[in-house]
Amino acid sequence: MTRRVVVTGVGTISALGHTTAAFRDALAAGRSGIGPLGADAHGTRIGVGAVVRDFDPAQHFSDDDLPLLDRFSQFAVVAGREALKSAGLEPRSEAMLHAAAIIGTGCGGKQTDEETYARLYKEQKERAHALTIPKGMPSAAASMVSMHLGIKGPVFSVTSACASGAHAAAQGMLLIQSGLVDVALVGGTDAPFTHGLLRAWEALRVVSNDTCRPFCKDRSGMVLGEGAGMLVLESADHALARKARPLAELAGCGMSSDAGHITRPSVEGIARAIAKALAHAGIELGNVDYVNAHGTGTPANDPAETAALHQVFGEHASRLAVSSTKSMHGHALGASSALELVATVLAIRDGVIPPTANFTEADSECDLDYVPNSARRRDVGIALSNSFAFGGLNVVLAVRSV
Amino acid sequence: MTTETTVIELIAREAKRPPEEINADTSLDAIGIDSLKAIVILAELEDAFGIEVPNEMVASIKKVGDIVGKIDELRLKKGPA
Repeated sequence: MTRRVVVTGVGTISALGHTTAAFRDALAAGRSGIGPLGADAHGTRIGVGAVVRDFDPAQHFSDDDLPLLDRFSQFAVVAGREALKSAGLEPRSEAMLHAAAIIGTGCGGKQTDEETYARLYKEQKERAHALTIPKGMPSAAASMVSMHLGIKGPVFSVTSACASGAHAAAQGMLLIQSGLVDVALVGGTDAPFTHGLLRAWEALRVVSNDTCRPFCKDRSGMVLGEGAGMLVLESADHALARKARPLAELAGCGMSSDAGHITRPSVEGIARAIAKALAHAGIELGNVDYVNAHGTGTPANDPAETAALHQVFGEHASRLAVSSTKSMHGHALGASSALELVATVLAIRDGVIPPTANFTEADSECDLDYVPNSARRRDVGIALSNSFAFGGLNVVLAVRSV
Repeated sequence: MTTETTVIELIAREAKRPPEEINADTSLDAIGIDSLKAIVILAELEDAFGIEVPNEMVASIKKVGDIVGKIDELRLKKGPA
């Protein structure tokens, strides 16, 4: 008998606000955090993004700590603190002594790396900043979360581009199911609004200059976002013993790889991940109410995801509510799947399905119920959170009401 | 400005203490300058004096005076600017 895993706390920082209350309110209102980048565009042709605005690191960290905290680490710690607090767990408490922290990131400490590269290549200096390595390493956020919250069990980073946060959640769930830990802080973080990274995205020609319109006929690509999403996972027994109220159950995960193309998604690979998640969670497909889609708004993703949902769910596909919250928090890369898992948990907790914002007219190849523009009040018993990364790395997480 | 004044100024800034509280005898440990912070200070001193502090010197630095001594030694080796 595998141990049941519940979500007892959530934390977010994103373009929708610095707290999960702000995140929830924006999702419920269908309000998008996507806006003009201005100076953050670094002179690139990328005109819009979902930026975390009005974030003053000094409000969250001491002068002593800041020199070691890249922006992606700051987001991770801020969201991690909120998740622990909402779970009713104290940093450095007994429970933290054995807890895990698994943090996904697609990019790592790019701000730090790029500042050093600018110094070396552009300014022709010969010296890197002394803290470039510990501040910029992709695992820095995981280490900073452990140091700031006193988490002393298994701590590491996972990276799988846009599925990083979902892979982290899957890993945390498996650690708990195996009995290795009782508590795991999982999630994802990224801060990709750096000059070099924006130039690289610009070159790939997948970023929209309009806004993110998943599943729409006139969609024109993804919109980058930033932030972090964190969740406290706990064995149901551990949560019960300390009288914590679970927000939802993380019932299963399905992981697959396309082993195909580095950027083009595969219907078959996506469908396998969805089917595996249902099987792992022991869910009848007719009982699924809501799917938080990967829904990037790119020409390639949306029809492939739609086709995969048809393939797995058959007739039930048309009864699913399917929405992409990337239309609001943007594609925050490694953080996105974690923000979406939080959105999925909130949909179950509140009985409110977040919409696909910026919706105009559905693409002819996208024929599901995408919950256009307005949130919908509906009890959600079982929901899926889809994440499909570049490189064909797919994760689907199954969440059940408790 | 003497080497000592420059060193103390930089250390005071990193340790967030008034420079008057710091002298050659001050132990770096006592004012919260750990090995990582010491490395940041040494990088700034390398820039300020145009010298290169060899890695093997870093381990022997315990007090503010140790840094001043090493810097003076290295400046002497380098010759007049």
